[in-house]
Amino acid sequence: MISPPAVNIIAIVPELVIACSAIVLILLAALVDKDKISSASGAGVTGWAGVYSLLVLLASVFFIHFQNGSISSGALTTFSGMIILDRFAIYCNYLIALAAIAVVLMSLRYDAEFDLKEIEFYILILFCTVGMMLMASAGDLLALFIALEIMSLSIYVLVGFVRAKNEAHEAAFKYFTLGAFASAIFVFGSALIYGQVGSTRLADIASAPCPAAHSPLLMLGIAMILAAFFFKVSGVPFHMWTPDVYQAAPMPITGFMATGVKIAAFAGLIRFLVSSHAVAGPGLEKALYVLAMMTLLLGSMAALSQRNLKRLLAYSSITHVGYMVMALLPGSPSGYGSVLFYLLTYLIVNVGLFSILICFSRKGAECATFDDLKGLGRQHPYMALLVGIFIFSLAGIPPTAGFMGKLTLFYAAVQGGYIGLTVLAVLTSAISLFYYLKILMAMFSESAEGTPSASGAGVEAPHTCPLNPLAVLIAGIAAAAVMIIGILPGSFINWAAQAAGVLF
Amino acid sequence: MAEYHVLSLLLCLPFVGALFCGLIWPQRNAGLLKGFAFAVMLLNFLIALSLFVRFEPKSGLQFVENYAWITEYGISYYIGLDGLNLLMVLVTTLLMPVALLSAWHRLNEKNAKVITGLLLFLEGSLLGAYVSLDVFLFYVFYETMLIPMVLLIFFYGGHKRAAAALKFFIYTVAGSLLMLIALLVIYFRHYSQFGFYSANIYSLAGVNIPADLALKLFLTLLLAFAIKSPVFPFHSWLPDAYVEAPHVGSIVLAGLMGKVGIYGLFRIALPLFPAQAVSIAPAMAVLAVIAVIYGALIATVQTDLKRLAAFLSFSHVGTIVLGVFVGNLQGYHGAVIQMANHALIIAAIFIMIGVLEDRRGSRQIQDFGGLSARVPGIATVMMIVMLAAVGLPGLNGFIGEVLILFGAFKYNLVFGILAATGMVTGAVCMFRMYEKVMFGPIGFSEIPFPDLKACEWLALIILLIPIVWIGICPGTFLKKIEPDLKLHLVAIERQTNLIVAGQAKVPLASEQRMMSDPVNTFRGRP
Repeated sequence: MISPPAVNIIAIVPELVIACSAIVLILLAALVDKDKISSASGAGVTGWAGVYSLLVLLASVFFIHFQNGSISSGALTTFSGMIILDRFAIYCNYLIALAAIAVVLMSLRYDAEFDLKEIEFYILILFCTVGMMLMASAGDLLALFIALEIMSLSIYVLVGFVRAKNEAHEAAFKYFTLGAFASAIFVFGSALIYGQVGSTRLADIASAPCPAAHSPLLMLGIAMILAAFFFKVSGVPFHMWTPDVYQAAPMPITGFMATGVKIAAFAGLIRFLVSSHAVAGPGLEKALYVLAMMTLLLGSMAALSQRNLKRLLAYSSITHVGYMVMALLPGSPSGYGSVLFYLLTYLIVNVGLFSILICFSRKGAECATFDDLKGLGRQHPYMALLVGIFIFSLAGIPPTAGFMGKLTLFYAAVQGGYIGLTVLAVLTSAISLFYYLKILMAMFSESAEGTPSASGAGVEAPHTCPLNPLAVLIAGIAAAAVMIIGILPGSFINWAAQAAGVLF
Repeated sequence: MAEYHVLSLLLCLPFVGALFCGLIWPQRNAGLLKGFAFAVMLLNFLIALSLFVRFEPKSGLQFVENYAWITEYGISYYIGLDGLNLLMVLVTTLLMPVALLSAWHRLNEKNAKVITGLLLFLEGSLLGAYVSLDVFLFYVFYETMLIPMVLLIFFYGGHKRAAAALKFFIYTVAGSLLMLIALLVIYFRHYSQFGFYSANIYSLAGVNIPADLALKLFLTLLLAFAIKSPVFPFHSWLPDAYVEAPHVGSIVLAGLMGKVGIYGLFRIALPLFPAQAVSIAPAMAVLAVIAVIYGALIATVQTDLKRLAAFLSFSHVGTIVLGVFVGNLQGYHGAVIQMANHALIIAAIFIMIGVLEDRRGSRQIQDFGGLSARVPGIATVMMIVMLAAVGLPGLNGFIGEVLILFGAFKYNLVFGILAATGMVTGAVCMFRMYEKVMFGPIGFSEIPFPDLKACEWLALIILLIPIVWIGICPGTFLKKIEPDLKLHLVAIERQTNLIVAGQAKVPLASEQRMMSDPVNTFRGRP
């Protein structure tokens, strides 16, 4: 008779709350008349679902806060090691909850304007968040896999959510097929590791006995899992899906992929790397080195020629992944800490930037190309200021958070002795200035429809209709946060460093 | 206690002003907005002036403030004044209101908000770069100042503004990011040598780095500062940026931003790598002399006034760089005082060009002629500025150039002769330009050409006062900076001798006091 494992439910309270609420929402959705949803009043129902999700997510933040208090020292390992609740998990969960809240807020008006009337949109966002949070606190390859799948399956559907759009189908299908491969590779890798170590527990892998360490099969397993993670964070050469999916997904979902998915995948990757760094030896570092190099180069080069903003941001996100992988290389606490801090800055900037793109999107027409931005700078100078802050932050120019993030990454890489790679990262970030500034410059180039004539009122471009107030609010808060972190980064860096410190 | 924070006040005031002008101020009232921005700048100048007056001519830092900023990394908010940055702080706070005045009538409801905001932002970041004594703090300001400048060029520049802004931005950032890596390497070396993290210049100067790595790091720093200054052959962004920038941008770009590069050489590159500086000095002197002559020659053949001024500025900056690398006290003195001089002179030149372009609607030299009879005010001021630029005794250019030439002759006769030749070429170029613009037949009598307006007079007179003052009694300024420069040079020579003798470097003098102060040492995490 096997006794059930000791379970401490505290470790998964936020996830549990979100999942249960999502299930309740599913049931409620079944009660709502489908015909009503497709009618005009349907938007209202979906809106309520959005508000409900928002409240649930806010509640989850409260629970994370509560968890933070309850594990004041050390970690809480439960579900026989499947779940580890420590400062690292809490840090990542805060970030993920923040990303999810921002995405729901962005969607509240967006769904009405883009005919996303199904309540399932929010249900999927909630489930996706559950997967992400579990990923940050997974202590076992299997838990990691399950979390990964919860997250990925929801995201696949969300990408193709606009059923009227052919390219969305194509992107979702592409993402799903490739993602399924990645998952299979992940499981295969886990099996190989299990074969060598006799356990899928991350802690057991870290302390694998000597004969198991460095064995080719174990290395193969680690490499496979690494490949799966690289697919999720969209690192070269597993990045092919990124531009297409970013382009075709609804704007808030693109924002979610740029923030939440990245954070969760990096959280999982860091947990995995911490456990496998010792057993994999120098081979792992070499592999990461090459991957980081390729990711940096390809991301920045490919972004240069993009005309579509979402594709540009996709490639730019690949470059940012390159910076972060660079800091993962040394496998040092400061390296992981810097990645965590960078994820925070990257989250805030992306949330801001995507909410501004949503602001500028008009009924049925996303603001997705450089031409769409034309003339907006002069019409909305304050929005242009916000865009400027986000752009300079992405480019890593002080006094923005992006610079501090980059400084910490370079710090970790130089500390680890990877000076050559850091020089490459620096050069690619100089290149990246070009395409980031192009965004700002597009906003101030003359409007495509020509400048309004002097004949008086009524000639203003269609963009002068009121901006989405929620998105403006998010962008404003994000911009303020970018500046605050950029000027006084000390406590945030400390927080991230503490979160990374518990992994050792 | 209030005494203690004066320097921080000087730093914060422009940023607060920028926030106020750029964001909070309601859109309409351009006149009040300009007045407010000017008042903030003037107040800042008065603070700087009071600091200058109270600055004791003794060696060592004054008005020091030191707080932990990013404790995790031992990076501190460490600022102070000494002989190296005193003059530039004063000149920065002086030039900013002057730049605003010179653009006074061009500011209207549409652009006043953005321009005043950006100018104040620029002032704050420039002052920050000059007073920072922590390399990362310096770096933050060093890059921050690019944002307002790039935006100024991009929003209010000429036809090719976007390309010029991009080129300037990418070029400079590429250089400075490489510098960031070099600084990080030095910083970690410091940790492994001393066991605690610190990023202030004085403790980093004590780090011993193997010669081959040190050379690489030094060259990286040199590259960043050479791009910013700019030093030949890293000047290709200069003509575009200077010409495409609006006049007010050109004034700040040529007068103040380039100087940050030279200041960086003084403040960071030389103290950190004294031996490398000595060994690379001949090469840098050659580049500097090339810049002096080449800049002057190129300026001679320009037909566009602004381009001409851009290359003249490039040539003059070459002179200053020569002064930095001749490695003797005369050169040092000359370079530090010439930094201030050149800022004043080039600002005046760009203001004059702006005045001419406003009236004529063109910058081509052939479009002018016979102005001296029509607008004696413009002609007179321009003459004085020009004479100051060529180094007429009694005006400020003389002091700096003569000191640098002394230093150059002392260092090597050939460099002295070549530099002097270059300066003469520059003078010839300027006088030819003056002759074509001011004398000869009146080419465009149909266009009204009013003399200087009140705000332009005010701007130029504010500039002419120090130009004459430094020329007639340079002692006021030299006396204040001399002890520090001497100390700086002696410290660098001592470090060089230590390295040559194969011994370990020691942290610089000011650091001895620092190390005993528990607030300033951060125990790094293992």
